[in-house]
Amino acid sequence: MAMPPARLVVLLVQSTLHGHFSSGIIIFIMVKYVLLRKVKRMKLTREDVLNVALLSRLEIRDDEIENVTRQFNDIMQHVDRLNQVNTENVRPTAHALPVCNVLRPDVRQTSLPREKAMANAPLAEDGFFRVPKIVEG
Amino acid sequence: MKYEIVIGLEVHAELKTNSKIFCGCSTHFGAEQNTNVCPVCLGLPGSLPVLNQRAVEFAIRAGLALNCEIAEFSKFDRKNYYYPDLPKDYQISQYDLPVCKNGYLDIEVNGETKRIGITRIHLEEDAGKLVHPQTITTSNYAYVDYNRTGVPLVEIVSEPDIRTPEEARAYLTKLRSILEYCDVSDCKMEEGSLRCDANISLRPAGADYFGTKAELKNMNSFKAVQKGLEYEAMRQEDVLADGGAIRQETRTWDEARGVTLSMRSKEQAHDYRYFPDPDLVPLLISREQVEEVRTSLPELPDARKDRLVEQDGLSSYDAEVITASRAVADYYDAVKKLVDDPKTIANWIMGDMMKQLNTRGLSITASPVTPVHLAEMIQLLNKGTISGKIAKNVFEEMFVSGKKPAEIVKEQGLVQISDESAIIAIVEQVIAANPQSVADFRAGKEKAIGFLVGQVMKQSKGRANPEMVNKLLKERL
Amino acid sequence: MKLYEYTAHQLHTMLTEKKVSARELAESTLQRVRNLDENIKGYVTVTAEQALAQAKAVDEKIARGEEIAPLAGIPMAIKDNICTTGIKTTCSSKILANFVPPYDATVMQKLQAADGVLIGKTNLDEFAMGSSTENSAFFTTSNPWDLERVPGGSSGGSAAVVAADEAVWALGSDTGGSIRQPAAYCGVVGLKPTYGRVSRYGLIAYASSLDQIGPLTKDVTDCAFVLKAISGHDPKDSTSVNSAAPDYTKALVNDVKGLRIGVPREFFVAGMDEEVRAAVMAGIEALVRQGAVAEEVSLPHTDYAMPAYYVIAPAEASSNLARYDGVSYGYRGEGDDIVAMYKRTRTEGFGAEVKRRILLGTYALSSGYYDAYYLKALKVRTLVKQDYDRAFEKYDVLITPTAPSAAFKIGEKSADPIELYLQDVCTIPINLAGIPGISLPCGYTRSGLPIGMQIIGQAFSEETLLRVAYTFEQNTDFRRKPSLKGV
Repeated sequence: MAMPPARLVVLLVQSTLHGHFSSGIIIFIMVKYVLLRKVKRMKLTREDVLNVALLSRLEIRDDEIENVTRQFNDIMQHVDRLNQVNTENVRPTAHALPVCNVLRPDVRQTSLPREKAMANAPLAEDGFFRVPKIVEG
Repeated sequence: MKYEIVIGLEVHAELKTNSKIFCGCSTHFGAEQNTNVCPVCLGLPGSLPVLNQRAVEFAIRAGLALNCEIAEFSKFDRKNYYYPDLPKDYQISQYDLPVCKNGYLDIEVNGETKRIGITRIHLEEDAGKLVHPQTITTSNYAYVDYNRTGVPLVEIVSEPDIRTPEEARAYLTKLRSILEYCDVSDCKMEEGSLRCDANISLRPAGADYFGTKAELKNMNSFKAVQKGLEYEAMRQEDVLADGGAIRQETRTWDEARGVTLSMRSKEQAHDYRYFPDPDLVPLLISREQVEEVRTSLPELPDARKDRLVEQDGLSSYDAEVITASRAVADYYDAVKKLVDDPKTIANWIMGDMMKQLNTRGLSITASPVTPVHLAEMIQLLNKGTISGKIAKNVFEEMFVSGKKPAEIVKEQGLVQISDESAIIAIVEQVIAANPQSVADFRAGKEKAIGFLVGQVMKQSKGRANPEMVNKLLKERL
Repeated sequence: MKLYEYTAHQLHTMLTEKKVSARELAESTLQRVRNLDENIKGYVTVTAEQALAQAKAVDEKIARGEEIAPLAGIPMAIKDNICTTGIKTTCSSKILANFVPPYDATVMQKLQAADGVLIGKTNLDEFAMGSSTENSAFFTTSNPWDLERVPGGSSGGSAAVVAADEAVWALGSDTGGSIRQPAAYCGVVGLKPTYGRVSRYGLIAYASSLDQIGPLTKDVTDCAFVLKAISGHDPKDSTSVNSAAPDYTKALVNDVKGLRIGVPREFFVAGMDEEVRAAVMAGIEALVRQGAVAEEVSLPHTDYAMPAYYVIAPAEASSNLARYDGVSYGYRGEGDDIVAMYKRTRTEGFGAEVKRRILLGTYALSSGYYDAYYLKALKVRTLVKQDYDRAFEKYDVLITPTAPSAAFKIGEKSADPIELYLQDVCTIPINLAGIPGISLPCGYTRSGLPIGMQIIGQAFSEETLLRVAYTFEQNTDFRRKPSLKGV
C-alpha cells in the first residue's frame, strides 16, 4: 500500500461520507491496515539492537545505545518503503549477471611461504596464530 | 515405561581431492602448521573462492552411491558465525539447495536388512584446527593452524531412522565402506577425515512424535559412537524415569570416563544468517553429467557381496567380511583370477592375512604378500606340494620376507613327503620306539594312533603327507 | 604546460618519441604531490621509491628500443582498497592500518605487466562506505575545486589526485556510485564497468555483488586506455565474465548520429539542484545537436533502488567484514577471552559508519527478518533491473545527472546518515542492475564547481558509453583545471 496511513484514513472517511462504502467494509479495511502496519513498522528496541550488536561482535556503550537505536529506526523506516512494492511472483536477483558453473580443475598451486602467510599476525608462536582462550559466545 | 531410541547421524567426510575446495592449496594431511595456506583459504581481504570441479564430481558420486537425487540447480551459501578456526568468520556451505537429497543405504543388523534414509548431502569447506596447550577449558590461549581450512567436505545427514546404537555403528560402517568404494574419501577417523555427530532422543515405544534430542560430539571411532549412544540412551532413560525432562543441548563424549558431558555453552541461540554467497555462482548439474558419473561408479558393496555369494558360493557372512572394504574385496578378486578356489581364498584372507595385518597395523594394500603370492601358495597347497600346516608357516614367512612361496618351500625344504618308502621308514621307526602306544592301540584304544601320527609328523618336520601317514600306520598296526 | 598536467595518451606519445623520460615524469608528479598533497590529502601512502624504480625500468625498455604499453611509465594512483604486494593496503580503516598484503590484486598484476608507475594509494571512506571520504579513519580529502568541500566518495582520494594532477589517472571502486559521484564532484571522468568486466580479485570487498573496479581519468580517451588495460576474464574471480574484452580505444569515435537517448524522468525530481538539472539537460541537447535523438522514459522502480541497496549492501558487508576479528591479520584489541577480544577489536577498529552498516546488514539477515528485508530487497532488485532491460529495448543509452548536487561542504551532511545516502540516489540503481555507467563533466555551478553527467548503457556496452562520452567531450568545452581554491 503506497499511501501514507493518515491520507488513507481521510480518504476512507470521505468515501464513507459520500456513501461509497458500508461501515462494515471500512472497519474491516481499517483494522486490516492497522494490523499490517503493526507488522511492517515494528520499531526496534534497544534490546533488539544490542542483540544484533552481539551477533556482529560489536559493543555499544550505554551512552550510545539510544542514538544508535534511533538512527537504526530512521534508516529502517526508509527501508520499509520496500513494502510498497508488489513482489509477488518476482524471482530474487542475487547475482547481477546470469553466470553459472564456474569451476577450476583440481590442480595444486603453490601455497604462501609461512613467513608471508603470518607476516600480518597480531600474535604468533611456533608457526601458529595465537588467540586468547576459547569461550562460547 | 518402555522407550524407543531415535537416532540421526551427521557425518562429515573429507573428499580426497588434490587441492582445496576453493583454492589450489594442498589437502595433504600432516604438513607443518600453516604451510598449506594462501590468501584464499586464509580469508585475506580481497581474496575470492573458485569451486573445485572434482569436489563437485565427488559429491555427485557419493550421492549416486547413496541412492540420492542429484540437484539440477544447486548453490553455495554463507553460514555466518565467529570462531577462530574459521578465517572469514563464515563457512561456505550449502543451505537450501544441496547437491544431493533423498537417498538411503541398507544395513544388516542381526541378520535383518534395514533401510536408513539419507536426508541430504551437501558440499562445504572444512575449518582449521585449534590446538590447546591444555584442555579447551583450562588453557589461557589457543593456537590456530589453517592447513585444514578449505579442505572439501561432504556433510551426509541421515533421517532419524536409526533405532539402536548398534544400528548406528552398522550405518557408519556401511557408509564408510560405500564412500571408500567410490573412492571419494579416505574415511580415516583417526586423521579426522571422517567425523560423526549424533542426534539422539527417546520416546515412548510406538509414539509418533519425537522427544527432545541431545547432540553428541567428539566421538573418535565407530566404537565410541556406539558406546556414546548407549550411554546417552541410558542417561536419558534415567532422566525420564525420574520424571525429569531432557534438555536440548550439545554433549561431548568423554572416552576415558565413558560418559557424555554437557558442553554448557551459554544458551544463546545461534543465528547463522545463511545467504547466497555473492562470490560464487550457481551450479547447474546436467543430467548427462549425472549419467556420466553414474557409469563411472564402481560395483558397490551390496552388489559385490551378492556376486560373491551367488557366483563364488561364499557364505553370506564371509562375503560380507570380504566386501566390507573395497581394498580387501579387490585383493580377493585378484587372487581369485589366478586360482579359482573362493572358499580357500576367503579363509586365508579372513584368517592369517587379517591376523598379520592387524598385528602390524597395515592395510591390505600394503601387505607384503601379494595376490600373486597367495595364489601360488594356494596352488602349492592344492597340488599337495605342501601341507596345510606347512602352508601356515610359508604364509608367515612370505609376510616377513616378501618372498615367493615356491622359493620359501625350496629354500627350507618344506616340500611335502609323499614318497611311500620314505614315510614307511619313519613309521617303522616310530612303531619300534613306542611299544606302549602300539599296545594300547591294539588293545582297542583308538586314540593312541593320534599320538603315533604326531610322532611321525614330528620326525618328518611336518612334511609327511598326513593322509599317507595315517594309512601306513594303520596297515602296520 | 607542466609534465604532470598532460593526459596519459599524450604522455605515451611523448615517451615513445623520447621527448620526455619516465623518470622525469615520475619526479615531476612526485614533486607535485609534495607541493600539494598536504592540502588535498588524497594519498594515504606515497610510494616514491617504487615509482622511481618502475620509471627506470620503463626508460631502460625505451632505450633498448622495446615497444612499451600505452600506460607504461605513466604515473598512476590506486585506491587503498586494492591489494598491492608489500605496500600497505588500509581501506582507510584503523583495523587494516598496518596491513601489508602478500599478494597483488589481478588489476595490479595487469598494470605491473603494463609497466604502470605507482605513485601511491589513495584515501577513501572506510571500506568504501560513504560519499565524501569523511568516513576515512585517517583524514578527509579535500576537493581541488574548493578545499572546504568534499571530493565525493568513496573513491574521493583517487578523484581528487587526478583532478589536482597528483597522478595522471587512478583506479577507484564503485559499489553504489563510488567512482562516478567523486568523478562528478572533482570534474574528472569516471567509469563503473559492467559487473564482471573487471576482476574483483584483490579488491577488498564491501558488497560483493555490486563492487566493480574502474578508472578515474582526465579525459575519455584515457578512460578507454585504462579500461582496456584492466578488463578481461580472471579465473580467480568466479563472477568475472569469461569473454575477451574488446579494444576500447577503437570506440573513441566522434559520432552519435541516430543514437537513441532515454532521459529517465524519475532522476530529475525531488531534491535535484536546479543548476545540475539545467547542465545535464544542456548536455543532452549538445548530443542532440550532434545527431542523437532524446526522449523521456520512465524507470518506475527507481525510488525503491535506494532502500533495496541499503539492505543488500550492508547484508553482504556484514558478512564480508566479519573476518576482521584480530586473529590472523589487522588490528587486535585487548581481551581475556576470544569473544572479548573480537568485540574490542571490532569496536575499536571500525568507524561509526562501518559499524552502522554491519548492524543493519546483520539485522536484515537475521532469523525472522531475512524474508522481509533481504529476500524482499533481492526481488526489488529484479524489478529495478527489469526497468533497465525494458528501457534498453528502445534506447542505446540513458542520461542522468551523476549526483543531485555539486560537491557539498565538509561536515555539512555528516550529522545525518540518510542525507548522505541520498547523494548516491542517481548511481545506486546502476550497480543493482549490474550495468555500466560513466560520469563526465557537463558544466559548472555559478560558484565554479563541476557538474557530472551520467551515461548509462546495457551490460557490456562500454564501447557505446565511451563513444557517446568521447563525442560529447570533443564537441563541448567542459574539461577544465581546478581552481585549487584555498591552497
